[in-house]
Amino acid sequence: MVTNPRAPARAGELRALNQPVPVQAFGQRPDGAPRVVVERGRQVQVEEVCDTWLVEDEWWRKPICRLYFRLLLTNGVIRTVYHDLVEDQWYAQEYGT
Amino acid sequence: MIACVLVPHFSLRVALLVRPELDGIPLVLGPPAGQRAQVIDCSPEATGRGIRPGMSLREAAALVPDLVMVERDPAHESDVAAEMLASLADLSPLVEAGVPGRCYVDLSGTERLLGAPVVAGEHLLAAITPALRPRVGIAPGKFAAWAAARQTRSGAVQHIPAPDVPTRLATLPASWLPLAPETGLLLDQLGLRTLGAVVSLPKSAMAARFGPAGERAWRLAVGQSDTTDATVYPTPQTPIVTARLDLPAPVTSRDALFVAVDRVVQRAFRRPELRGRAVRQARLRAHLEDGTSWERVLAQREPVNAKRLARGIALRLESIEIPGIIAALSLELTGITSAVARQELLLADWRPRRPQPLVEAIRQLKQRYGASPIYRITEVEPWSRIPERRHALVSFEP
Repeated sequence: MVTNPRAPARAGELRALNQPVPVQAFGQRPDGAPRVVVERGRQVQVEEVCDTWLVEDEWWRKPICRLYFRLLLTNGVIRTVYHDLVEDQWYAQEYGT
Repeated sequence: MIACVLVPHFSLRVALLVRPELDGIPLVLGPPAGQRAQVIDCSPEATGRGIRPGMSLREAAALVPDLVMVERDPAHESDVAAEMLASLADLSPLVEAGVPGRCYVDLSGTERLLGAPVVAGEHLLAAITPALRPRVGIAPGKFAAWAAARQTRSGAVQHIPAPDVPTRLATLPASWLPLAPETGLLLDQLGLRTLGAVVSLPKSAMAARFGPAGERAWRLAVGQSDTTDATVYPTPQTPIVTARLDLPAPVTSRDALFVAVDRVVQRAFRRPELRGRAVRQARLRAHLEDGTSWERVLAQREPVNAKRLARGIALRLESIEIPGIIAALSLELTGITSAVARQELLLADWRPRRPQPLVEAIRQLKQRYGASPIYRITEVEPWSRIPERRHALVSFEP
């Protein structure tokens, strides 16, 4: 049996792309989406919630539970944010497909 | 049954067609003008006095002072090889051109026309110019037929019936097997000097030591033909357009040669067969004033018209030495196609145009910062539901 070296696994020069960025979001609509998102220090109203989906994963390790919202803001920008239901924090992150 | 029509020392025999008075004296075949001065081939009389192919001409002349050198004539060789093929094609529809001076003829179904194998072999011999000293071997496979032809004397036919092949091949040198030179050398070092010695090993041992080539060699040595050996692949008849330009004044300068090339290309493309068409391969022959010739084959990556072909030939000729005083040019065009458009690369502009400076710049940055500060995107878990797990940046190491 191979003994556990207890050394952290090295990922070399790997740097993850599309890391979530903390954002400020206020208010709460009935579907859980925010009413206001702070963009570059300015509060922008949410015009419409385009899409909503839940990602739950890795319950056996460090649970991940994110409620994603694709939002149309009043300034015309479409932004994807998620509510981290484990930490109760808001993050912005492009999801893609 | 397959017949092998063999002309040993083909290039030398072709050179002797022009100078038959030299036949029977120590002769070496030298390269065409402008190439490295070494013995390409030598007559049996020269071999008997210690001359070997690959020896420098100076060394050969020092060894045999009365040695005569004839120059290779590639254009004449091509013509003679084509004539040989055409003559044999009159006797059987299945004729395969091997290396120059070697043709295979499938005799299946020709019994009523040509008779028994030995008589058929005599018909084949009669079709070849006797001055080439041809010989014919007949056997069930190409390798055995070639071995039979190689063993026999010029002007003779040797037939090996199928049951006799293993015993007749057993005494022949193992170096005759179609193996890579290093494999042949290894066989010799292992003491396997005859086909009989090779056959004495289990087939599995040859296959284990030398791979598929070893297994095939064992099969050939024992007289078992595989598909390649037992099949004569007829040489495809491709349309050829030729044009010749006799120069009003002998050409020695490169500029005059370019003009002549342009004219002979234009002349070839005026032929009705090439109207609106393009070609893939050109064989340019320069007939020199001293009666010898010189040729270059230009295979194009894509079909070309007259203008582009002339430019391509000129570019090629720029880097070579003009072989002598040129009296005539001939051009042979093959691979004729009705190309009407060129396929351009969709993303041609996306390729790095100057990769070398980029690599050098990255190397310098790495020296300065200790690690390459240039990264490339790589897929990690592209299927992941967690977006940050899908792609990552990794250090770019050129």
